[in-house]
This record gives sequence, structure tokens and C-alpha cells, in this order.
Amino acid sequence: MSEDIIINNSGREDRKRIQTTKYVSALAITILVFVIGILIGNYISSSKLTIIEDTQQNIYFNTLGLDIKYELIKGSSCDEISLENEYFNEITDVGKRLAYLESQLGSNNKDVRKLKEYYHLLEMKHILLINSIENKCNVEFNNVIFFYAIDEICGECSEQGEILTFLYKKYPTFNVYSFDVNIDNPAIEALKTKYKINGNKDVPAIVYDDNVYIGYKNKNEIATIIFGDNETIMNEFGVD
Amino acid sequence: MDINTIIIYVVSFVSIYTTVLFFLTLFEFKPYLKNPISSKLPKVTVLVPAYNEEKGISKTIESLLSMNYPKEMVEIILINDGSKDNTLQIMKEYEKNNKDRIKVIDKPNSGKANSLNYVLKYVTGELVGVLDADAFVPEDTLKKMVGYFERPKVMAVTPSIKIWDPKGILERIQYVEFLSSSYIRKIMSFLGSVPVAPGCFTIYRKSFFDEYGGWDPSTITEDIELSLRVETKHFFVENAIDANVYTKGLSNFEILKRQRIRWNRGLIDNMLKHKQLFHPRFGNLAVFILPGTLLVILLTFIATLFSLSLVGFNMYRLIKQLILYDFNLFLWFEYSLDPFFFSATPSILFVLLILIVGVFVIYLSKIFSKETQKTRYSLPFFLLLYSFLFTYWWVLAFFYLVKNKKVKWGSISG
Repeated sequence: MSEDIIINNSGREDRKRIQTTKYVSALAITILVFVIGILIGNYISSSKLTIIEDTQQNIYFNTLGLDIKYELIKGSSCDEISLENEYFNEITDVGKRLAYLESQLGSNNKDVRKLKEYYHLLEMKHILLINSIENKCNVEFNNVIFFYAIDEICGECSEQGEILTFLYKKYPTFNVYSFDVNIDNPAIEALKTKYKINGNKDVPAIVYDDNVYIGYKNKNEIATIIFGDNETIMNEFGVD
Repeated sequence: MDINTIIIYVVSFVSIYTTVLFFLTLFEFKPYLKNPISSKLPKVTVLVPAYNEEKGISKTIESLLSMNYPKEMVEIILINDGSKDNTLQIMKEYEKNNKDRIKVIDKPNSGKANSLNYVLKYVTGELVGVLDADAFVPEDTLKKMVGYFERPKVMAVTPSIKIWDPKGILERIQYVEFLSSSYIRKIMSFLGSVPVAPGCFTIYRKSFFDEYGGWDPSTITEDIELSLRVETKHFFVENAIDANVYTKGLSNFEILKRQRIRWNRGLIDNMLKHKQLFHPRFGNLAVFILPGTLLVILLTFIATLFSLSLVGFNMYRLIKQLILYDFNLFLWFEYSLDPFFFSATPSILFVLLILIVGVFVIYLSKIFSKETQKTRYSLPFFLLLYSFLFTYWWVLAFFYLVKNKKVKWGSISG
């Protein structure tokens, strides 16, 4: 056996030589592994779009249901209309997930943009519903409308978004509706026109109680805008 | 595609390509993983240069005396390089008790290469090896190595150098580093291109020194210079992967840093000295191993900077978020822990793949080199910290090169 190995080893004196076939085969296998990796990775990322689609569909049904319920009991007393706010959580979660997908798949991804447009319409539908309940039942919801643009256009927008998310998490009595000013839809255009938001140069912008606040606002400034008349909360923020 | 994705794709592509090429080579040469057995055992001279090594030298000498190689076929030359401690006395004691096998040469301090060249004239063996005075060999190491010399074009055979009984983070990292390099060196030998034959117990054919000169005292890494010189003459450096040599790891950050700057600087110096090796007539060494080594250094540097900036950016974001959340962790967890956000983009998949392949290579090294030591936590420390240390040492080495700063020696060995 040892003799064999010695003889075989002696036969490999050419091993310094460049074996083109081996280098090319390695390249072909690497490209194959690479392509498979990209396909699997993209498939997993895209499958998240379906999750969002399903959730949005749910929200749509819930909102529609609420809308119909409201129409049906229009004449009845407000006690029968529970001050439905439960779907708002879902809306916020979808918003967060969409922002994440946007960072993973890119803001120009066609599917992401389509989902976002749909998401914004759902938000508007919710605003309208809440407004009707407010008018009929003489109750008040704290609605904040937040206009933003993606990170590449507006560096401060995501930070502004995080502050608003924090406030919403801490004080779930108010709703934040976020709108990407660059999503092309007549309803969003109408909303922008209503609050005189001129595209990218006005973001981030916040609308509260029909007042428009243009530019980045820190935690305390936001607290003053929203809770300015609530001494307890303002004390929590240490704002005089 | 953003810059982060491009960096991950390039690093992944090069890593996967190298891995695939190495695996193809491994499959091609699988029958040659076994060491050839010598039909007749040649005489071997082992040189042990020592400077102030009174603590470890006894173990080194004892291990050489216990080798299962015919006693009359091993000559041990102990070189005292002007030690100021009891090294010489210990050497003399061993010489007195093993007159037929051990010879002591006492000389003024002149550095490792000069010491080795000085004693070449006393060497009677057909083969000659160097064992550092802080290392030791198991009894079967030498026997596993000599068979390769049956092929006349083989001028050197390298063993697998291992860290003995690693303690602390730094030694554990060196343990995994040395272990994985044994697999890499074996594959390189299959490609007929070993650019670095470590000085510790690499066995050389004495006739190479007679014809092409001994160790080069003008370089800071005489072992790298010697192995590149072997390659310039179109000879072979082989590797006996399961022939183990054990040495102590360095636990002092500063000494380790100096050792690595010296190794890295030495590699660059000697690549420049033997730059003709980049000519395609030198085969795999020219088109793959040497450019690949430089590319790996560059990509590791880029990838490390990238990960550092990523870690830095995320830490900054995290701290900002925690401040925003008034350190209310419950609220913050609710905000950030959504399984939806744990995704598998192509980049994440590639990073995972590289990690798995890396661990598999370490496993192969362990199996092929028949490593029996069991160490705890070595792998996590290695995976977490090695690339940062590697980059740090290389940046310093290039800094020394550009500034033409002199590299201080960490110790005579290593």
C-alpha cells in the first residue's frame, strides 16, 4: 500500500499546474450557489408581502364591517356604538411592517408601493369613520396625521416616526396616521392639499386638531402639541 | 443595490469560490491524505535554538528523546544563543546523559537565522528540522513526515502546529486559528503551492541548504523566506496533516501583537523579495494562492470595517431608542420584537453559509489532524473576535511598512 502511495504521489508532480477545468467548475458551482441563495432569500422576503396583504385584507373587512354597522345603527344611541379603536393597533402594526419591508426590498419595489397605497387608503377610511363617530356621539379621539418621506429623501422622518410610535405605545388613546407624501393617489393628494403640504420640502409634518406643524419636532415639542393642556402628562415629560 | 449589499455579495462570492475550489481539490486528492511510508528511514538532525528558555526546554528535549524513530537516526543539536539564564546548564546536563544523540553548541547571541546557519556545518543528517524551545512533539510526528522525501522534488515537509492547553481568550483564539490553518496548508500542498512553511518543526532536505544557502538573516521571518525560496526553484513543500507539534499560545496581547506584525510584515517583505512568484509559470501559487492571500486580507479588512460601522450604527440607534423610551424596556421590547422582522434576505443567508462552512472547515481540520485536545469556548471566541484582531494586526503591519518602522521581536521563537 505504501509503495502505491509513493508511486501515485510521484505521478502528481504536475500539481502546481493550473487546472483550468477545476477553476471554471468552481466558478460555475459558486455562481449556482449564489443564484440559489439570492432566489431563496428573495422568496422569503417576498413571502412577507403576502402576510401584509392578508392583514390588510382583514383590516379592510373590519373597517367595512364597522362602517356598515355604523350605518345600520345610525339612528340608535351612541351606547350601542362602542368606541371602536381596536383595529387601530392592527393598522399601526401593518405600517411598521411595511416600513421594514420597504427597507429590505427597496422603496421602489412595485409590490411594496402598491401595498402602501392600499394601506394609506385604509388609514383614510379609518379617519373618516372615526370622524363620523366623533360628530354623532360627541366624543373626541386624538388623531395625529403624520406626513413623511422615505429615509433617502427625509433623514429626520424615521426619527420623527419613532417618537410618534413611542407616544402611541405609551398613551394608546391617540391614533397616528402616517402618509408617504410620494405615494401617488388622488385621495392622498386631496389630504395633502387640505393641509397645504407641498411634497418633500414640507416633511416631516404633523397635523393635530387641524393645526399643521411643519419640520422635525422632538419628544417634548410633540408632547406640548398633543398634551399641552394635560398637566399630568406634561409633568411626566418634565415640560413646564 | 446599496453599498452594504455589494460588500456582503463580494465577500460571500470570494469565500464561496475559495471554499468550493478547496473542496474540489480535497476530493481530487482524497487518497493522498494518508502520509506515504518511507521504505528506509533517513537520518534526521533536529536543531533547537534557544535564548533564555530554561522554563520550557526540558520538555522540548524530552519529547525529542522519546520519538519512536530509530535512536541512531536522530541527531539533536541544542544551540544556546547567548542565554542569560540556566538554559546552557540544562542543555549540558542532557548532553552528558545522551552523548551519542545530543550535541550542544554555545555561541554569543546573534538571532535565530544566524544561529541556525552557524550550526549547519555540524549537521550530519540527510534531513534537518528546527524545533523551537517552547514546543514539543508527540512520539510519532517525525515518522509521519519523512515518507514524503521519497519524492526527490520534495524539499520541505510541514507538520500541523497546535496550541497546547489553551487558556484565556487569546490562546483559545490562536488554538482555532492554528487548527484551521492545518487544513488550509494541506489543501495548498495538494495544489503544489505552500507559501508559508512555519519554522516550527518543518523538516528540510539538507541538500537544499547546501545548494541554495541557509536561513536568510536579513528577513524578519526566515521561515517564510525559505518556503518562498523553495517555491522559486519549483520544488515542493508537503504537509503531513496528522503530524502534530505543540507549542504554547501567547497570552499577552502586546507580545502577540508584535509577533503578528512581524509575521505579516515578513510575508509582505518576502512576497516583494520573491515577486517573480506572481508569474503564471509558478502555476496555482501565482494565479490563486498568492493573489488570493492578498485578496483575503483586503476583503477581511473591508468586511471588518463594515461590520464595525454596522455595530456602531446599531448601537447608536439602540441607545437613542432606549433614551426615547426612557429606558422602559417593556415598552421597547413591545416595539421591536416582532418575529416578522427576523428575515432571511440573500445577504443574511450568505453570511450564515460562510459561518457554517467556516465551522465545518475547523471540524475537518480537527478530524484530519487527529486533534484530541478538548477546549471549551474556543470556537465562539474565534468566530466573534478573530477577524477584528486579524484586521488590527494587518493594519499595523502595513503602517509599519509604510512608515518603514522596525519590528521588534516578540520572542526568538514563533
